Amino acid sequence: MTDYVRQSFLGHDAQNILAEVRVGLIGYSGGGSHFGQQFGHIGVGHFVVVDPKIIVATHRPRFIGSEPKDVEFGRLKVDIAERQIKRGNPDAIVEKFKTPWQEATNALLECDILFGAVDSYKERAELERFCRRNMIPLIDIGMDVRVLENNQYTISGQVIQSLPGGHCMRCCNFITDDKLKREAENYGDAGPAPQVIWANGVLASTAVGWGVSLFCPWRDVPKIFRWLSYDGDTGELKTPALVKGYLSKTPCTHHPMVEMGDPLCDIRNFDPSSRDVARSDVTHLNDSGTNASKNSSLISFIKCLLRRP
Amino acid sequence: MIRFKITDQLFSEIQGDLHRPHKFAFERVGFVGAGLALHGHHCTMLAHSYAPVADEDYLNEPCFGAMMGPNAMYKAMAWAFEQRVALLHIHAHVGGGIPGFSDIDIRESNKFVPDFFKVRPEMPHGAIVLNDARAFGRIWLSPKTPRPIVQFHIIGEHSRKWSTR
Repeated sequence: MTDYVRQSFLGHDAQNILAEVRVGLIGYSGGGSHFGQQFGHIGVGHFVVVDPKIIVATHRPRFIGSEPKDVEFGRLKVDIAERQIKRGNPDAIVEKFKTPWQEATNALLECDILFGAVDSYKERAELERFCRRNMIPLIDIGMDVRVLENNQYTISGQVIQSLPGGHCMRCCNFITDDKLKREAENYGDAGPAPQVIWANGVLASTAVGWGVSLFCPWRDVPKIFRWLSYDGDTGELKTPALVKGYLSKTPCTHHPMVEMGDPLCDIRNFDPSSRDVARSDVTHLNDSGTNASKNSSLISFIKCLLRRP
Repeated sequence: MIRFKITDQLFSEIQGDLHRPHKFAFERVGFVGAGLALHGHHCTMLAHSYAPVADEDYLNEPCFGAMMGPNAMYKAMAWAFEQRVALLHIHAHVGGGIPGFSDIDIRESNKFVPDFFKVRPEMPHGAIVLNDARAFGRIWLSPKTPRPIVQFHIIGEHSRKWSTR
């Protein structure tokens, strides 16, 4: 009996499939940390984790797997990700990029699916366009807390699955030019966006289930655009009426299939023998591009001191 | 490494079309149009369109499963010229596992695929054979020598991938 017997309904070959799947996690904090934890435990074998930041104290209340010492040491979020993922699956390969995701595209291009837990409409729009051009499924989550007129608050969120050839975040008006424009105008004025662990957990868990179902479907389900709107006050997740109404009759026009690929590519310039930096050589890079972290620098310094007479 | 990606919707559409009966041809053939992404040593073909060879563009050659007439080739090359697509000839075999090209398939594709570079030299071109579950293919990165497609990815509600190595 294996560790995974309780999820054997996913198929006799499910664990092999999951071990071979490459999952990209864009943003590793309130939402992303749930992804890392759950996919690690499920048995996903290969991760590309991208987040440029270190953890600070205000991340801790929602950052799954974080510890007080991580804040004390100024640990990179991607390092915490690796630790957390390997708690679930010690055999997992975790490629870490302490960069904006736009600087990790070579690794992301090799992923079978990306999960977005980013902070802005602009990032989402760019990430979705990247995924559509390169035929990579994307599942995006996000939450919001807004103040009401009576000084109370409302929690909301969404999970959206964007598949090549299917509807997108623009189709459901989640991303609009108006929102992008207002976001650009407000840049720098917005304070830290409120987030809570339980709302992120609901959204991320739903996204994880969708992701697994793409590779190990356990039943036939109607092929509709997967978009769930989260009411964090009642705990309800529901499919907006637009999905079964207008969207069911109207294909996506925002990402035409014929726009797949890079329009500037030229096969005559391609050298099939050239290689990127070998994946095994990349752990993470700090801002100067050297392979070091705060901790390893500190340890090296201490070792140097101990060697002195 | 050469990879080929296609949505499960388009893959199913192509399978359905290739299994339609024809008046005299034993098999049907068509062309897949694809975009291209290059990074490092990876060449990824991104299938986005399918154009079946029209019924009237087959030649009645009983010695072959299907023989395309000159009009079929003309239309395919016109498509590649007008729309910057990588062209992949596609047909189906019966059976399971990873399909393979017959000697005739290889001989014929060696003749006509390099011609696609005359209209679209900056894109790779090739040939694919598929069955109910899997596919195999060869890609020409230049008119000279084909290479095998090493990985296939079907993207959709049931995503799957397989290696042909």
